[in-house]
Amino acid sequence: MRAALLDGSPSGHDACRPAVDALRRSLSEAGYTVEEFTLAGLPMAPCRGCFACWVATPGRCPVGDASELVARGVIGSDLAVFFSPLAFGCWHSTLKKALDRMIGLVSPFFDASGLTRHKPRYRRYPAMLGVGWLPGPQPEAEAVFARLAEHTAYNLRARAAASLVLMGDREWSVHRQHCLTALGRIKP
Amino acid sequence: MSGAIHQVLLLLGSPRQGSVSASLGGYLLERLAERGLTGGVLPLTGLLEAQEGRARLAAAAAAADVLVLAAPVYVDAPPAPVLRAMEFLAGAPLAPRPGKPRLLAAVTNCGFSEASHTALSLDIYGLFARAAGFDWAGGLGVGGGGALHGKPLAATGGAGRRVRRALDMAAESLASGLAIPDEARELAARPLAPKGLYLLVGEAGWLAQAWKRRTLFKLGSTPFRTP
Repeated sequence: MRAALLDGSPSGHDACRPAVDALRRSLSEAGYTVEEFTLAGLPMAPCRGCFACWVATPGRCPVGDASELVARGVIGSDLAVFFSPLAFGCWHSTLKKALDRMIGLVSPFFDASGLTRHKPRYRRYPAMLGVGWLPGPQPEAEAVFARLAEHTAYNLRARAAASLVLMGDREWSVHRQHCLTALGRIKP
Repeated sequence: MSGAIHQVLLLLGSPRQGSVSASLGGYLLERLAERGLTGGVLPLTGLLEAQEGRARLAAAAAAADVLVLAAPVYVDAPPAPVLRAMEFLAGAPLAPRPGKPRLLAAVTNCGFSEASHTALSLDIYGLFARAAGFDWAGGLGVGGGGALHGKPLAATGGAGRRVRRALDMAAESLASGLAIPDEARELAARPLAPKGLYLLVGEAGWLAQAWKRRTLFKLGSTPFRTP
């Protein structure tokens, strides 16, 4: 099984290193081969909202940077893992930039069978694990993040999804156990 | 408290020219100007790339009595450049000003017909307000933003009527140092057009753009096809 791990830690954010290390180890222990993308080190422009990836070069953003590598890694995986420190309950901008650039993975056409979302472009989509990091408990931010991860999984057509928040005031072994528990809830 | 509110700053979070965010935010700014507020607009696209832009943002935000964030929803949340600006501002939170509010309000829109897609963004803006030293004055979430075509809101006729009314009410409250009333939020969240019609017109728009670009029969391409 293949996992694409998108590490959205901003440059110099060492406090969340133990958490992403534990996540990486847990993925390996759960049987995944991990392809890791350290987003802060990749050249990637923000989405310019032009929709060219839907109507001009369908499925592919015409801006030639690392976003294609990342999108290709995500759609080719069995499990997409999004990790970042949380800001206001949301992904850090480092990770969000990559997510914004992924809309070409779905079709421009609408699926109105429930809450509206876009129809799939591909026959098969990965499961999704959203992992946030906080320095300590922040119940409101954690609640917003749980809803955000669920919505993102819905809109990116994930086959299965789970999310968790790792706290900077916990031990590495606790992070690992939480990651393994969350991975156990996902059946790619 | 109205005498205390003088300066407004509109932060535009859409990278597009003629965006729905500019239309909604611009209309609110005009209504606030009619009530005596002065201020300006800072588009966030590219603003933080240079030290000069970061300094402009920090100074303008600190001087504002009302900060309005107008941005679309991208993948369920504010676009990355908006988040980056929020992270920057929250990195040096403003000190409380006893007796004078420092309000933050948001106007957000999404391309899906249901305004409920904007709820997460509004909650995120609320948490940001607290982290950055603002008083959260609430926000308006507009679904089916495509129906406004990014035109000036005053020129959108019946389609924009309820949103204009919601923004009028928001301006009245903000200019008085008050939060946006629930009635305005409910009004803004009402569908601009029937869901079926909106989706039909939206999809026809994609097909028309593809026809112009000669990609009509390639719209379902899977360039990263998986085995």
